[in-house]
Amino acid sequence: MLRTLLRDPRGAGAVAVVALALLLVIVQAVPGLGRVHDAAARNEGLAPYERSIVSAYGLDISRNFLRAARRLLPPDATYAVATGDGVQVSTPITLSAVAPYAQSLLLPRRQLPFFTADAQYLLCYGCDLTEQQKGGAVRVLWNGEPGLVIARRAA
Amino acid sequence: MNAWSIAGLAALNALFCVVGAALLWAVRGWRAWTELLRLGAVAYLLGVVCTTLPLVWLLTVGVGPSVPLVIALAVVAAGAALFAGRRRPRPAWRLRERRTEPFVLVGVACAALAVVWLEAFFRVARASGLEAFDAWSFWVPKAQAIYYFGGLDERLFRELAGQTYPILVPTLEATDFHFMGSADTNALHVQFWLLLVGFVFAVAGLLRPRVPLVVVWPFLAALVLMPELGARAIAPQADLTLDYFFVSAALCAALFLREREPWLLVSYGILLAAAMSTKREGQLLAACLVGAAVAVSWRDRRFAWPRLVGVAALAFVATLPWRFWFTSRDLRGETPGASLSTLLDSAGRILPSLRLVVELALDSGAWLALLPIAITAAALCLVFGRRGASALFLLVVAFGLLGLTWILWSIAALPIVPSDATPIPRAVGALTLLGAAFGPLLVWELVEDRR
Repeated sequence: MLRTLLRDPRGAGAVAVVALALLLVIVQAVPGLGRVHDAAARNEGLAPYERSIVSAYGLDISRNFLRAARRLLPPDATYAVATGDGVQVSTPITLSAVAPYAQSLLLPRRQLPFFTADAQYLLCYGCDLTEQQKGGAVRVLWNGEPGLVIARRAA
Repeated sequence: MNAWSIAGLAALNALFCVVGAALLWAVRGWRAWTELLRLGAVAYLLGVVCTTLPLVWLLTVGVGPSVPLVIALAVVAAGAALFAGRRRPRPAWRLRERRTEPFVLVGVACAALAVVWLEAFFRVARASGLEAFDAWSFWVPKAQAIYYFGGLDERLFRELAGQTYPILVPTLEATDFHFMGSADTNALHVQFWLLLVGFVFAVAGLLRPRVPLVVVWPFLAALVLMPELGARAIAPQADLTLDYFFVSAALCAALFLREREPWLLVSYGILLAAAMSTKREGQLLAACLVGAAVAVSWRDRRFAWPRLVGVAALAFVATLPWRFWFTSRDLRGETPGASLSTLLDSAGRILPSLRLVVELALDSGAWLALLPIAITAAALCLVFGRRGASALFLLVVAFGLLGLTWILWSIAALPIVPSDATPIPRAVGALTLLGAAFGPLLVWELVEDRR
């Protein structure tokens, strides 16, 4: 069969093309399976809670802060995220990523753009708390790390 | 891993299989139960579309997905399909013809490797966290909003990136959440693993029994081994889902032009509608496919053009409810918004953009070399006078490269760099996957009349 195919230029071309695809498979099989096994081991090494906030590691957003926010804000809460230079971060994207990441993580809680009267909670990530309280006092619920505060609008 | 979440996903995806199998029964019938096995993955992809697309339409009129609604939709769709196909003969237990194939063990070995890889990839999917930027920043939040608020939350959609992006994937994800019983964003990755499995076996099912195992599976085994596929396939976003629908639609179009089977035309239309409802690039890719199919069917234009273009127009109509929803709310960002003068001003971007698109599409480190291999096969077909699928494939690739170049050219804010700052490194996946799916067909066309 193979000999018959190779006698004809079309058959030879077809055999060459399939051989190239086979060569790719042979060359890539071991590294390909290695990559997927490594990825499986890495993912399986994470605890369920770590998996749910895995992007926070890359963005260097405090995991404790996020965990506390999830625990303290009820599902129907409204909140705002305020950032500032009152916290030390290791990447330039951290502060700009806090609000969108919190929005994704904390749904169905509603995020508002500013800590106005409609917002019940404040997630302060290095923000100026005094500035934020101009519209009304807040009660601090969590301040587990320097510069990070979760507060509720005082009644 | 949450076992209940996985069980919910399995139930929903089994429902997709039932809907798709009933639809295929209506449009082509089953000669044997073994055909159901071979085309089961095609049925699955069609079932995903035929269940999720009506949910998108319902969302635009304020009805959110729920478990009872999805089951009712599936029962209605499957029931209607079974009723339409009631005159079809009952399938036999097996096909009568028996064929011998050359080097079948090589094909089986490659298929086994692909299955082993997919099994290992399932372990990655079931324990994945939400890592991809686009996934956590807007694709999944849109799905969560649909799940939590029971519909399209205009305020949230306005705040998120990609306001006007089609919502087939968020709708599918929201439906997943309903079947899982919670917004389990970790288990959600398994849905995208299932779509990948469905795509691989759908391509195999469409190519068989025309193309021998030894030709089909080396390409598909190489496809699953693509590093970029492994890096992106289970991210809960629309990029690769679009590619699956688009490539399957292209394969159905190529086979329809060869064999004129009506069920291939129906499948092409449904998958094209899915591609256009998955991402904005889907409309661009659909235009490339329809344009290429029209060009290569010049000789059969009386037969082919009304069907190809008519079905594509119907597929476009399926995207209109979403379009009406977002335009009525003045959501923006559907097109680059570049005027002729701004395009002329940035004409200097054309060549660097084209160079980058070609480099990324042919990047063998990311996508292996399946696209160049398929292009070689197509070129050989043309040299030896076989102008069927090869001409279609080459034209779709050429139009696709130009279309992606146009994206980079027309959006001046996009840097011409090979990073994820642009959609291009992901978008070229459509062309590389096209190479993997068309490669076996092209090889077979090359030697077809030698049998």
